[in-house]
Amino acid sequence: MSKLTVLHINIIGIAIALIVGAALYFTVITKANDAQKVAQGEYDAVKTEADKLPTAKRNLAEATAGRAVAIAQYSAFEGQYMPVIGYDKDVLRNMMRNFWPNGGKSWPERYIKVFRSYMAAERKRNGIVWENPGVLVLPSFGPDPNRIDAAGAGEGLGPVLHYSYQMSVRAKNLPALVRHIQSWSTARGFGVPTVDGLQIQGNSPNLSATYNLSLTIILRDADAKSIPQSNGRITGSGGGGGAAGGMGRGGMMMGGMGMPGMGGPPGMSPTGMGSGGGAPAGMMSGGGAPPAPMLSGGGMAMGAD
Amino acid sequence: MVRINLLPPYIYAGAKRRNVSILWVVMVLAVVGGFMFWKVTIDTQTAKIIADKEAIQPQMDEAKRLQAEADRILAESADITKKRDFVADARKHLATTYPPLIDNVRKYTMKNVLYSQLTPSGQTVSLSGYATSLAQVGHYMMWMERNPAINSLDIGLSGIPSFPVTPGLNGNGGGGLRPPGAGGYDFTVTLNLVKPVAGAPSYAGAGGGGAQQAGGGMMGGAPMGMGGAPMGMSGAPMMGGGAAGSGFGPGTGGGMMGPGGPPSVGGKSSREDN
Repeated sequence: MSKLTVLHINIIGIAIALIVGAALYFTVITKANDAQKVAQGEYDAVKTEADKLPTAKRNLAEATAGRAVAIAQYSAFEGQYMPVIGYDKDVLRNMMRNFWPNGGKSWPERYIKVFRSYMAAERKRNGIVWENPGVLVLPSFGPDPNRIDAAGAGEGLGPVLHYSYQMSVRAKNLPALVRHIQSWSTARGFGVPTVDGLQIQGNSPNLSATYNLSLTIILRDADAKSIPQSNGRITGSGGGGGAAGGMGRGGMMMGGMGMPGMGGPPGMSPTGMGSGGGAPAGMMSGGGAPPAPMLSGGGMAMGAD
Repeated sequence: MVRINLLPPYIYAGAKRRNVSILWVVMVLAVVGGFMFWKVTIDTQTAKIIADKEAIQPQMDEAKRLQAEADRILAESADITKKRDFVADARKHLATTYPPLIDNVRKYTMKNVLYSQLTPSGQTVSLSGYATSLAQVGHYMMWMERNPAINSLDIGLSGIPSFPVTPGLNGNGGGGLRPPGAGGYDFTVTLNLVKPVAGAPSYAGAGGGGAQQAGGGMMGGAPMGMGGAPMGMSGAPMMGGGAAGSGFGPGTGGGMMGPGGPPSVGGKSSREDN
């Protein structure tokens, strides 16, 4: 110690002060700063979320109001457009009640009836003459309750059914035709109509128009819940009778001739296949069973009013 | 008298070293103290931040809860909202697609110009028309060209005479809408629309998949088997109800006139029909 000069002591003092300072900075202060940064980050995150409270309140209010409005509006739409098909949870009973001729109570019969009623009303309202009512045909749904396509192929019994038709109408003048197009939105009970591909020909008072009419049925909850489960104990195959030119579904029906006996070779009997209306009067052999009930007479208009 | 320090300098060196050493110890302690003060200051700020965070934590929880509730309601109502939107869109499409378009075309059509065909499709409207004179066709073009709903019009017209003009020549002949033997010009017009004709909305349900498009035209596609021979009469649309298939239709039996029937002579223009 006695050999150290003041200069040495100063140098040592400076060095110790620097070392102690650096050590404290890089340990204590840095750690405290890190902790503060973490806390600040957490605070910022919480603050950001907390600041969303007014937005969240508004979103909740809007969602609640939006749901109420959607329910109210769709309820009105559903009441207007969506039919009650009345599916039966028993797949066999469902087929017999809803997809075989049933004295006007089956779904196809009711559907056709209400569609025709609408077009009849259009004739009174707007003087619209429906030139091709033959497009409105639903095919035989066959004897297999597990393979019923109520509308488009592959759609089964729902929950959404699509029908589409190439409509041809005649009007006395253009305003009547325009009103006819617009008034599709007033249709009731056979789906949501949309019109596409309008073409107008001729001139007043003999104005013709063709257009694609699509009908979308979104099943009501009760119907959607009642869609029957398939029953593996029942199978069947067979063709339908010639129902007013009825072949194809949901599409443009050409002809509408309803010719009895149209169809292919009668009865592929070895496999129990039904004939496609080849037999007189559209006898149907359900899966090779003994004489089966007549589903629809060959060439008879299905569900004619 | 001058005072002379006769003591050697080393006599004071020890005390000086001690004092300097003490000074440095104090300085180092001051450095340590300064850093401690700094740390305490930082810790105090940190504690305040944490306290603030905890104070707004319930607000954040509330915001999250409300947002989750809103999201749940939106998710629950997504299906019915989608259905509602589809129906509303369908209604809107019926009301706002063709009627305003036809009305617009009618508004910009000269009197005495008769249309025999009008087909809106995508970006265009195709028209077939007839005018009694070339001047009327020209005026029609001038008027239609001012239509703000169209970008351009493309007209197809033949029979414009060469020169010198034969006296009495009027028109390109032909049948169509004109009275028998009358002159005039048949022409076609394609209007290129500013706003294309919107396609009809479709709904495929929650399960996705493409919606069936209009005009599917399935012929004999029933899975239950419609026999062998195709039953579709692939010609023109049905004329009447057929054998036993008639008896429906609004007050009409079979034998309805198909589209494109003979145009009435001297038919009114669309404007006159108003």
